[in-house]
Amino acid sequence: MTWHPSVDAISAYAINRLPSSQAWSIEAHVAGCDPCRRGAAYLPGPARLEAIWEATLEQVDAPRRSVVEKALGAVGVPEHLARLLAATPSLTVPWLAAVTVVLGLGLAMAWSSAGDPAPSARSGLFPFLLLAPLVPLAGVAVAFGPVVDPAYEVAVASPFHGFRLLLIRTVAVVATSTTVALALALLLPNAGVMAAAWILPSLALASAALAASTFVSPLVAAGGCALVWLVGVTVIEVGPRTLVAFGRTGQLLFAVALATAVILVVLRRESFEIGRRR
Amino acid sequence: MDPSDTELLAAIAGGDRHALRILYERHAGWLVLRLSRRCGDPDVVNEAVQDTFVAVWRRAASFRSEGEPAAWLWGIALRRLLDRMRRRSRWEPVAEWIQPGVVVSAEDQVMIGVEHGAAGAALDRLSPELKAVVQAMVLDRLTARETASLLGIPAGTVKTRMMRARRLLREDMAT
Repeated sequence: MTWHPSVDAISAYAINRLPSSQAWSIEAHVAGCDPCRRGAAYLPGPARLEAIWEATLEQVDAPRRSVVEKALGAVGVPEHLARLLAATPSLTVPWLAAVTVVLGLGLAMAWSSAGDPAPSARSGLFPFLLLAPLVPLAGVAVAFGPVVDPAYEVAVASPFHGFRLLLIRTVAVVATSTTVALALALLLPNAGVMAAAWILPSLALASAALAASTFVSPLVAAGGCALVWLVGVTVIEVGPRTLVAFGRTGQLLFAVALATAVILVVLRRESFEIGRRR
Repeated sequence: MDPSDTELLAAIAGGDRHALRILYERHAGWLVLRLSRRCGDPDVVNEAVQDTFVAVWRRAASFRSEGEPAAWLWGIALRRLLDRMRRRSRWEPVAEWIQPGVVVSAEDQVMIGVEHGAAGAALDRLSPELKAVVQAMVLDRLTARETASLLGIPAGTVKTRMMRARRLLREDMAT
C-alpha cells in the first residue's frame, strides 16, 4: 500500500471529526497497516493509556477467580462482593465438607438407634439436634475477625459500611450452613417435626453471638454462646432424653432470644465499624 | 530487529509479561480510538481495552499463528466492549457524530474519495442513527442483537433502521 492517511486525518479521526466515509476508510487502512497503527498509538494520551495498563496488570496479577466467585458473578453479584464472599472461610468447600462430616456423624447416631422402641428412639435425634445449631454459629465466628479471616484486609479496604458488610456475610454464611444442615436433617429417621427443631436455636445462637461480639471479640462471643448452649441443653436433657428443650416452650424461648439478639445487634451496630472493633 | 506481533503472542502464551507490555504499547492506543467511535463513555472503553489485554494474557495460546494478530485483537476488543455495554444498567449514548470543521488535507480527500466515491458521499448524508447501525452491522459485522445492545435500542429498531439505510443509499446513488 503506497497511500497512508496524514497525521492530521488520523487526529481528526481520533476526536471524531471526520465524515463517516473518511473515518471508515482510515479505519480500514490503519487496521491493516502497522506503521499507521503505531503512529496513532499515542493519541489517547499517556495518562489514559497508563491507567488502563495499570488496571490490566492488576487483573493479570490477581489470582484466578474461584468457581464460587464465578458463580456469584454470573448471578449478578458485583465483583468485589463476590471476591469477599468467596474469601469467607466458612463459605469454602473444605468448610462445608467439615460441616457435612460433623452433622453426618449426628445423623449416623440417629440411625443406629432408630430400631429402638419409642420413646427412647427419639433420643437418638439428640446428637444431631445438639450439633446442628453450632454450625452457623461456628461459621459466623470464623467468618469475622483478623485471626482467621484471610479476607480481613479486603474487608478493611472494601467500599462497604462495616455493618452492611457484616449483614451480607452473616446472611450468606447462615444461609449456606442452614441449607447443608437442612439437607441432612431430611434424612433423619422418624423425626417428624423434630427434623426442624434445630432451626430456631441455630438462628438464635448465631445472632446471640453477633450481639455478644459487640462487647467482646468474635471468637470469645461465639465460644461463650456455644458453651452456654452445650451445657444448658445437656443439663436439661440429662437422664431420659425426651427432647423437652426442643419442645414448644423451648422454641418460644429461642424465638425470644433471637428477637432480643437482633434488636441488640441493630442498636449496637456502630461497634461493627471497622477500626473501632476490638 | 523488533519481534513481530505473532512472536510476542507466543512469548505471552509462555508467561512473558514484558511481551504483553510491548503488545500493549503497539495496539492499545489504536484500540482506544477505534472503540471510542462505538461507545461514547470513555470509562467503558477503558474497561473494554483492559479486559482485552487480560484476555490476551490468559488466552494467547489460543491464537493461531497463521492469523493476523491485529485483527484477532480487534475481534476480542469489540466483544469485550459488547460485554461491558450489556452489563451496564443504563445506556450511554454512542459517540456523537459531529462533523463540522473537518481538517483533512486535499491529498487525503482525493485518496479517500477514490476509495469510496459516490457511496461515501451517500453514506455521509445518512442520519447519525442510521450511520451508527450501518457501522455496527456492515463494518463490524455484528448481528442485529449485538448491534442492539451496543446502541441501546431494540433489535427490531436495528432491523428497520438497517432497511431504511439500505433504501436511502440505493436511492441516493441511483440519482
